[in-house]
Amino acid sequence: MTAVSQQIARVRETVDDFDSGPVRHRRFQTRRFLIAALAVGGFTAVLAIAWGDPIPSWWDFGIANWVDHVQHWLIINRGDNWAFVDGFTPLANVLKNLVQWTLDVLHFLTWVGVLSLAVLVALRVSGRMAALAAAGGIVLVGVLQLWDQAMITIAVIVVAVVIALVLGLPLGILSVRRTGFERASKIFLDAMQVMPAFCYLLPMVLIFDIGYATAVIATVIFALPATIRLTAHGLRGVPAAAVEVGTAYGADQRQRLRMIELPMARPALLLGVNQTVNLALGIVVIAALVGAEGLGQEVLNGIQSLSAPSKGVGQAVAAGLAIIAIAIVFDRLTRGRSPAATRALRRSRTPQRARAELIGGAIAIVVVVVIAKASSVGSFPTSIHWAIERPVNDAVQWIKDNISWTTTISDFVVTSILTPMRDFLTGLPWWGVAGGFVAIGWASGGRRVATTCAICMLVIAGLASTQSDSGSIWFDTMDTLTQVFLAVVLSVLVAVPIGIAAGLNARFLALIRPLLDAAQVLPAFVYLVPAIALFNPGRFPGIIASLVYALPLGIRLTALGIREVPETTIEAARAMGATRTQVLVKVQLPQAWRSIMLGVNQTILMVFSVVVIAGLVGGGALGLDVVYGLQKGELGLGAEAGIAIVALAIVLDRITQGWGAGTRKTSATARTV
Amino acid sequence: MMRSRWWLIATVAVTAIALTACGSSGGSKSSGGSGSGSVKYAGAVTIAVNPWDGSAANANVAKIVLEKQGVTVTLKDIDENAAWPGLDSGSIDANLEVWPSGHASDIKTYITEKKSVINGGLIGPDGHIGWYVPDYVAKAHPEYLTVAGLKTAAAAKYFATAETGDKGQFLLGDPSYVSYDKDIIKNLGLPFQVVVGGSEATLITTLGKAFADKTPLLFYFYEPQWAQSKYKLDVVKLPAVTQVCKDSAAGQGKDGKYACDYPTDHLMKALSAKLKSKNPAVFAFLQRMKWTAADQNTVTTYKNQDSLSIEAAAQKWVTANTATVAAWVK
Repeated sequence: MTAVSQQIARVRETVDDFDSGPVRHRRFQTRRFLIAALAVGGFTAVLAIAWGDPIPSWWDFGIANWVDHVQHWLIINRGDNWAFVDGFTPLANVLKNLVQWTLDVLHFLTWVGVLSLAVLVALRVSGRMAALAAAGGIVLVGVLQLWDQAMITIAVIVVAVVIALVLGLPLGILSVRRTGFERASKIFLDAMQVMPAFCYLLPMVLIFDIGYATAVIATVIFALPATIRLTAHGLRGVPAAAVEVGTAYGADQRQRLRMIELPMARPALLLGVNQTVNLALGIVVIAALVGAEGLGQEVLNGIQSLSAPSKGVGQAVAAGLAIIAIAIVFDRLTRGRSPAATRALRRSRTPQRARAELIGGAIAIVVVVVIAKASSVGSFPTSIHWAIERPVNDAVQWIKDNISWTTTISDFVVTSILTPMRDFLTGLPWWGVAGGFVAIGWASGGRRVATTCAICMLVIAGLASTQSDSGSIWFDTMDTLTQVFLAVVLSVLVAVPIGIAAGLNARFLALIRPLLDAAQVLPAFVYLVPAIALFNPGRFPGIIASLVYALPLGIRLTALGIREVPETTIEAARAMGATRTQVLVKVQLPQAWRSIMLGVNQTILMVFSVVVIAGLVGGGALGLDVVYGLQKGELGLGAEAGIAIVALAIVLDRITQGWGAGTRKTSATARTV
Repeated sequence: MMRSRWWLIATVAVTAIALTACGSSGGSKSSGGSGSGSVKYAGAVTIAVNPWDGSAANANVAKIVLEKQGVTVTLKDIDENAAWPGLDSGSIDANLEVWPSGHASDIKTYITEKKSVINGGLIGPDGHIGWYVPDYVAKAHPEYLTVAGLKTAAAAKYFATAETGDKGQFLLGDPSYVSYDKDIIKNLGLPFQVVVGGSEATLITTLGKAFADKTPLLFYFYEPQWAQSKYKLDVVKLPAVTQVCKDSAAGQGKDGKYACDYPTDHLMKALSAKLKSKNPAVFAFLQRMKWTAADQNTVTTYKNQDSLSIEAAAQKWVTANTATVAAWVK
């Protein structure tokens, strides 16, 4: 459920964007077609004649040089400059101390205190089953013997999520109130989501120093877009009538917001918290790179000592499980009850009783902590240990020793699909590729999408001549494009059938849901080693990593689309004598089309956000350029590759948004007809 | 009523944050040691642990010895590149194993220009980077241990993979390590293409997989590295280091003229300039600390083959080598 929310927020944006006009392009009109052909052709011709091929040096933004100068200035002046003395360093100290305090509180509570706190909060917010699951999650962390590391990770996450909420809620409200702000912020939010954290990690370290502060800020950057979008989504979902009633009773804008809109948007806001936590958990490994330690460090330590029988992939998997457990705990703490349960609860619970519960809970925790302190309970008992390291490592070794047929698959894909595609794209003149994208953009979403595509392609061209390891940014962009394209196609091919099955069969959905949750928060580093053992280093293991990361969303959105088809519609079709297949093909799939297309769109963004992972397993291209940026101090190259990733992602995002929005109109029309 | 409560909360929050900021700046100042006497150990230091065994061995041995002298030692797991800003700001006091070849620009900026990091001398072991093949490849095709052998079309075909097509694959690991391989291949006219594995884990997993399947592999590797004791590897004989290569290496290979073997990497210690003023005794200790490749290997072998924790492995070495340690402490 959790992950679906953000997409819904996006689809609203999309719908808002496209309601105004471009949808009319759907029906073929000769005049419009001619205008489009002329505009696209003209654009391409201007590029071909005025710019020419290769991209001329006057269209080179020189961002790499500029970034390198800034980096050098930062290194020399950090610590002494007033901006650091009075601004960044105190801010970093505040963040560092907030994390340290949270950590101190967690340690003070001891593991039984944390357990009872989580259980009580889950009981109050989300009910009994949720409390049970939260308890299970916390015990799992203990049983894996990762208590101390997990507390560090939780402390960082809690501080980052609170900051993301403090910033995100007002910004979300603002973007509902001011459409201008929303339009302006959209591109920044997209960039924050897609720009690999590797790009800004080193500058952050230079500004905020190593440790918790940088980890918190990097996490906030990555998670904030979801908070803002979901807040906006929640507020938009409040019925206009409710707000009008408030106005009629003389409530001013602030009162309406506090008394009507925010309480009514509560479920969506809770989902926002939920999603923010999940995204924050997604970059714990990256936080470990800058000295935040915790579970991310365990993952890194694991894959850095592949020979030790008690470490290796097994250690990384154990840490991965602990991360999943934390995700479950936070999910249950913020999930909330079903609307019916909430209403029932509200009726039965008087304010006095609620206060009594609160005080009782606080007393219970104090008692537990006092007893724990008296009996000197500290960390989780070491005698209870679920040692999964060795079995996992044995399994990986078995894969290495026994499975080699898998490489024929990867070899086939690389030699017959990826390489020819890359050769084709890099063989075309750059203005041809740019013109092609603008044409596709126009066909999918009209003038506005075409303009966005044109601007993005020009931006990429302005970076293109920068030298990278494999040639130039242009070459790497085309390389990344082919990898992303194949990953998206494979994701859709796998996700749509599974999603349809899950949409039709609630039990199947319940069965795979934990797997989907796990795949979304498990750090890719955990399964990189098995992926390489199966498929050799190169472009294919990266595609596998993107599949694991992107599939859950595609499956969920497809299932959501199928399940959202009104029961009455299906019954009507059945009554007219349609078979099950006919109902699926003629009724359910067309009506779920918008949701499926949204799945395709989201898959693209997800795949882009793991492009760096591809760089770490031999996929090269823009992902590797970004890695160079962090690891070789070639910040300029990393920054340019990051911008190219964002530009390319925006092109593909806007194009596919057009598909979803356009068909939404058609399917809506179909429904009324 | 409601509004006043919000103001109260906001005021409390702002005050709390302000206090946090003040408290921390006060706290960091008080952590310096006295260190007036020549060998008077006290205070607290933070030593970086980079993600490989050698680095962990150095740091843990230093920790055991220093803590016995009454110094509080914190070990900080951190990426080797992120360690430099830490040394610069003083949040890290020492990094005991820096491979200078991979950090030429850091050394230039932080040590030479800004002088916020001090070259703490050599740690002892030397690093060797080179081209390697598994022993079964060397046995079946001894000619592939020479440049002449690798120049042939047969070699290209033998080492080719799906990623490299009709060229041979040369596999690189962690992109942050210094690499002249593209230039070596170009300048020696070898029919090979570099595939950047992207991480050490990729390289070592591929190596393990190659040994399991007995498949060909030509790759970039180095010593000291634990996998050297697990897998039997042979070194390709590249041309001896010439002046042209030395000049090229001085410029990080930017001139594209590199065409020889890798020069020996003398592993060095990088110490924070702030440590020198804050705790000269520990600073001098870390400058004196030096051991041999054999010593370091002993610790990492204890860890990898006897499955000791790195702390226990370091302790075992310290107990057995009191004379070496005494020279560092003085």
